[in-house]
Amino acid sequence: MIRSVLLPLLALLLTLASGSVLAQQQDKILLSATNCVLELEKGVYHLWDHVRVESPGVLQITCDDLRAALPQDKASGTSGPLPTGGKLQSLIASGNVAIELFQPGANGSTNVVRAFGKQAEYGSQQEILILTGDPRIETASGVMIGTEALIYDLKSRTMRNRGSYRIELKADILKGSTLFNRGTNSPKSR
Amino acid sequence: MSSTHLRSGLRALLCLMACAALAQGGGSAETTNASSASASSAATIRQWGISLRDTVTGRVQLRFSSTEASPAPSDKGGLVPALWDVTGLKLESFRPDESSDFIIESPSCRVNVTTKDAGSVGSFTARRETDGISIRGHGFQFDGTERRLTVTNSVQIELRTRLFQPKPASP
Repeated sequence: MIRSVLLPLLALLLTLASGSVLAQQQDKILLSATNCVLELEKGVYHLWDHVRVESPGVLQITCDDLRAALPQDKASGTSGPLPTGGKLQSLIASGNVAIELFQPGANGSTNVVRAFGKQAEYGSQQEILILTGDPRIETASGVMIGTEALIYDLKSRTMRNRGSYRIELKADILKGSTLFNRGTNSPKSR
Repeated sequence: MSSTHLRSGLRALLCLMACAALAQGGGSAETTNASSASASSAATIRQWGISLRDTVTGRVQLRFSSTEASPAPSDKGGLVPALWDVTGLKLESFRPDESSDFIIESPSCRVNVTTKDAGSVGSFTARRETDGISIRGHGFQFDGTERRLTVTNSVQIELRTRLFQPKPASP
């Protein structure tokens, strides 16, 4: 009897705890580099050489140079442990930019979207990543190569482009498709 | 002269040197807790502290404190009033309303109270309690006038914020 009550309770507690850990991870961004200049009052950070941005479980960026604008601290004078602004205002990564976006997939799996380019811009207002300079985005189903800019909407997980683009789909995605199993009009062999 | 008189004399002299250096730089200062000066290492002050105030509002802008400090020698061997070699630095910067902003800590560094900067080739940490930003690295220079922190040999910054709200998994 006790066991039957305790087990679901324990399971519930574990679920809540793991959810809380996940939320804490997603509320954390780690920046690292060899050099940086931080304008502490203005909230403007400039990092260069071996730059890495990590938002655990969400995304990872490596690049040569990064400029970040942090939210204005509107809670000046208060002692709350968490930021009130909540979001990074902007990120501009440049030089050998490589981005890995981790997106939750079906059945608890994780889909990884990889993006490459010479520059990537993130704006918190629109929550989009604009990739320029030989932009290229790789997903499980194929590759999208742009000539000008590829724009990835982080909220809706959709992609759009500026300029022309090319999509290369992997043959695997046609497996099981009935697209090429139709009858033909070629004469039947006797 | 007794060692007690020697100690108090040295302490007063060092405080005077720091204040004179600040006056030249256009700031105002107060030294705190200069509790003892060892006669054997005459220029060392334990529990050294100095607060730099805005000349107009009189509010504290920066507060340097350390477990030990000694005036740094110049290239010619003489002591420079504004320069201090400090051990166990805690540097607090304050907002205009005197609420705490960044706190920088370094086991060993050099402080210039006239130009309001501090720097070291060694390790340091910095943090801001209000939004949970924490920084650690090696090789830093803090410009207290511009509130600019420059790191030259590896830096890790942790921000307590999120990039975006991920879309929940589709079924």
